[in-house]
Amino acid sequence: MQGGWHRYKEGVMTGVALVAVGGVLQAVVGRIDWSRAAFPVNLLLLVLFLAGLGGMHTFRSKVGLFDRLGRLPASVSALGWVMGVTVLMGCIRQTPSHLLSDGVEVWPDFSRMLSSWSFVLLYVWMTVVLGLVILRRIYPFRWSKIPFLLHHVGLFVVMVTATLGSSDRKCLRMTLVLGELGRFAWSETDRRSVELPWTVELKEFVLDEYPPVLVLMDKETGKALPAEAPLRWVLEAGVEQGGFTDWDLKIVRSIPEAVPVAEEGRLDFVASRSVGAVYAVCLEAVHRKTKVRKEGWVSGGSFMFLGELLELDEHVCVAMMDREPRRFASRVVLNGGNGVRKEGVMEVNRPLEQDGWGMYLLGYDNAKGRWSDGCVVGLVYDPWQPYIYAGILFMMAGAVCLFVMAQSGKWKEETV
Amino acid sequence: MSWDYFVYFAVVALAAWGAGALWAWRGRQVGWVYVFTLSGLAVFLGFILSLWVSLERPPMRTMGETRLWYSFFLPLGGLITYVRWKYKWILSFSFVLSLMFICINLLHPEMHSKTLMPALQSPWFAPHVIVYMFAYAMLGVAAVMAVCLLWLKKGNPGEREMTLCDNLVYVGLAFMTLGMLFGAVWAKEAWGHYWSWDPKETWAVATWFGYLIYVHYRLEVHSDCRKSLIILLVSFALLQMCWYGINYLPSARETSVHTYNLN
Repeated sequence: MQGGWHRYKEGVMTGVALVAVGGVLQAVVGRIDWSRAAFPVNLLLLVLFLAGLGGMHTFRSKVGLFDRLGRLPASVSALGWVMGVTVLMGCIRQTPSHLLSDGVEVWPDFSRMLSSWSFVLLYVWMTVVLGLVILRRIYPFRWSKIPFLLHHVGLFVVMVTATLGSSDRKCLRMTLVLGELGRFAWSETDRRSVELPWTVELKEFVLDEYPPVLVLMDKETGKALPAEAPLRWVLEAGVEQGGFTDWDLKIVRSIPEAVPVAEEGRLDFVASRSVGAVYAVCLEAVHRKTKVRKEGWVSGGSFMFLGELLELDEHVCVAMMDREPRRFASRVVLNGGNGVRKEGVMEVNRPLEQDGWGMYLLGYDNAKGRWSDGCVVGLVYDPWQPYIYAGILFMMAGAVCLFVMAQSGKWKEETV
Repeated sequence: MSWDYFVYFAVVALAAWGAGALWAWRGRQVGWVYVFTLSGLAVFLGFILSLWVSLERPPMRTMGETRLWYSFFLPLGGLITYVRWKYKWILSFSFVLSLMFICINLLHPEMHSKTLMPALQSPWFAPHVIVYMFAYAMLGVAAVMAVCLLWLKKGNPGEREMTLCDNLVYVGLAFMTLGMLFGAVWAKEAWGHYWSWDPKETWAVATWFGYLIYVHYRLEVHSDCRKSLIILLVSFALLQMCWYGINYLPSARETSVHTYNLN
């Protein structure tokens, strides 16, 4: 048997050939249009792929290439090429499929790697190798092979179902407005409207915010100070005093919901629950050395009102940062075509389910913040999801087995 | 508890880990190696847990917070390796690596912020990060081992040393796989996609493939030890790109949704 890198010559050449064939295909037929592989084409492709693997496995004793594809050098080569092309993908900024691209990266389509023939052919090669390795190792079956099979079969199932299933996956977005019925969503890829078989009504949108944060700000640059590690004074409940470097600060008055009013030529804040109301705090600042005293309002502002700063000297001022969202949620009512009414709350990490669709709360009107009167919802329909989950579970179990068996050395014995 | 107290915990933990490494190097009174190293780990974990309570969220959001976990898992990985194989130098290396990450945290103090964006408020958050950081630590120890065997040790690596590298990679790869899959399931729950080929995800899977190449190449009867160790170091370089390198990569800047640093 030959040793060293001679064993990898075939793998290197296969990779070169696949990249070349991919380049030619890219030039002749253009980039891969995954929507053409939607059901039933993907099912047919799956059957053909599995039959092809079965055939290659059956005839491996007659065709040397089929036999070599199921062995370690082929695994290492395929993984090497796939890693290389994935690194290339990581180095090139990827363009979303619905946007036009120009420049030198257009022809090989490396800026849309998922639609690039070379990329896909290399991944298919790796999956073929993976499939043949599984078939070669599965017989004669022994229980001790379970960890190997979990890992490899899991990856195979995930690769095949996630790739072929992507053609059937529908990803839509819709904007919901308070009190209005939403019936149409739009596709992320081709930007076309789609009518849903149910309506969605946004009944309520709530956004909880973290307490306001005050910072010492450089008036010229607008950056928080000290530049290397900005200090933050969080105005939590019960906090009355704080400070920044040379300044001691005391809260004279704070109003969680206030609006600014001009009173006798000076700005004041009064409590109000009107739309756009802001958190305002009246501060007294005293310089620790010079004992210079300043007093005034500070607020972060909103889409209705400008923010207010407290100038301490000609260089620095106290400013309130934009408040960060702690939690946001939408209460919606879904009216199905069959008259079934369903009410639910959508939150980030807590999607709603409707007729096989997942509804994900993605965002809201950032400019209006907690006064937002709408939200953005993502809708995903993925009929291949259970198979992908099965593959993921297999891989998880395989990873646990790898950890448990690694130390005993059994992993190597059962894998070679 | 805030970052202001980190220096005190760090000094005590480092002193304990340093003493453990020294005792291990001398090769006598193994019991003291365990006592010192475990004491250091307890002190450091005490700080992490106190910070967790004080922040009212898991301290895993920022780069500094993940470095905290890494600094903790390195001596832990070193100790596990020491318990299993009794390499007297392994604790010294894990100590130096941990010292390096602690120094970075001390020299680049971060803001003490309790905020945690809604996307990170998930039961998957803590296991995803902890599992990944443990994997990074194990693979970090494997990379240190590779450097030692390639350039510091005279002669070719022995089978015993290579077996240690293999086992460190097996454990690291197992945890990395779990971390990646936890992330995929979490992404499905948050955004509806398991895998969106975001720059972070692309580099994560490239790193994973790198370690798979090492594992498969090592299974070869004719595998060359030095080439195996080079593959290990290339994979570790990819891991650095995935962890923080993409923050400096023009193709990934402002395009990754996996950026949660405080600016």
